[in-house]
Amino acid sequence: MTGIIFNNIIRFIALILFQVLIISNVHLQISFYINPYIYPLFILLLPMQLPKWAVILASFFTGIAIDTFLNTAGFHAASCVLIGYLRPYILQLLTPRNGYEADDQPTIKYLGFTWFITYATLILLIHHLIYFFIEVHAFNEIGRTFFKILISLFFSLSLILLIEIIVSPVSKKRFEYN
Amino acid sequence: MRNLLQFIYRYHAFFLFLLLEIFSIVLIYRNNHYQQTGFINSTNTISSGIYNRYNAFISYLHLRSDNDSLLRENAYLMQFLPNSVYQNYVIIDTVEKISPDSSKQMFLYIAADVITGSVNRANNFITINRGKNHGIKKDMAVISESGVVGMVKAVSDDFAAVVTLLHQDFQISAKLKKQGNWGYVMWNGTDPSSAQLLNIPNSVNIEKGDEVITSGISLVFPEDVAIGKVSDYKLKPGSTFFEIDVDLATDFRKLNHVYVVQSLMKAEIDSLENIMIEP
Repeated sequence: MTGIIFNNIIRFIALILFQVLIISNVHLQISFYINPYIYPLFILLLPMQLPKWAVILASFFTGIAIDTFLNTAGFHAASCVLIGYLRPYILQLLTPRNGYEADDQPTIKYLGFTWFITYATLILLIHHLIYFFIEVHAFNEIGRTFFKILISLFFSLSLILLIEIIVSPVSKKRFEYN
Repeated sequence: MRNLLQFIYRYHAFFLFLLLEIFSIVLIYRNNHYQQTGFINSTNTISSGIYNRYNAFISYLHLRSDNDSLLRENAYLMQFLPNSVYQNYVIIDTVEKISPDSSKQMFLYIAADVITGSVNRANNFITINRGKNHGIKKDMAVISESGVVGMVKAVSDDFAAVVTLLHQDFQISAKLKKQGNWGYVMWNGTDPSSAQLLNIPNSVNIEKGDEVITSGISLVFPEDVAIGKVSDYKLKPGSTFFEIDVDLATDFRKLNHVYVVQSLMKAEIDSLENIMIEP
């Protein structure tokens, strides 16, 4: 139990620092349309057995932390609270044919590559939709905003999959990933 | 009452979601107003501390280009030193009487480092490592060696958040250097390297490459600071004003050092204007 909490705290800090210092670093921006957000991986990987209220609270604090660093008061918090609230329903929607095992975790290792991609795409799509529409706070640029959402979503997903594959290799069973 | 508590308990997740979502939306609305100072921003101790340490660690990567730009700026400033100017005037008695001190300091500059920022959002900020303790106040102008940067929005003890030109609520009074016409420059939220110059009447003879500079009328920005160059201009049929695209002089992606402008005569002008407004 302590191990799980410790792992999640480390993941929280690492993902937020990676997001704000590298991914969102102003010197490293390539294009106006490429605006990936990888920190929702923290919310994606929260233990499956965590009660709903705890997931929502954890998501809220993740959002607020990112908002503090990126000067976007409330933008990320609002999108994170929504995906935190919807996560249990999405997990329910994606229940494998034989149901979840008691010790299943929402990772590639436990539930496979296809399952994880579907899960990550759904949650990130909701996050990006809400975030980018709040960010432009206007509906007059819908086409451009959608284009930005799709491009950014592609990059966010690729980065998240890359991180998942590097940090928790599927083949090595002894790296217990909580 | 018991039923109500049971109801809340049953749907506690939904109520928590609602509560936090409303809190976030309130935050968004409170901070969206360009004039208002939010309490959740990157000038707080933890995030600015982390950014500062990270920048200290990473700054050696762009040391070379920094040095180059500082050298260039030094060379530029050296031409204004008294010893590099040939005194061409002849002192005549009357002139000396009229102007014992013919010039007066109007602007002071506080150097600062950019510790973090963004360029590809719909509204962009930078955070600098100078704050209240260094004399920085809200609404001071910020420029760089290459041109206009933005305006201070929030100040903490050691840091300040700056709204850049790449913020859709930020307008700057501008003029065409050659023609002298006044207008204002705004960003439309698309390309971080270009903005729009508005309010230039169709009677003006405009050309690509014309320089756009600050007008200096607000006394917040010094006059003649570069904003950019005209890259394209259109005239919609029936419109009396040009739509002009300006290639921005400042590259916000490569911004490392900026100067915060302290306008010494702003208060004087403001009080004068207040007298004019009050009958």
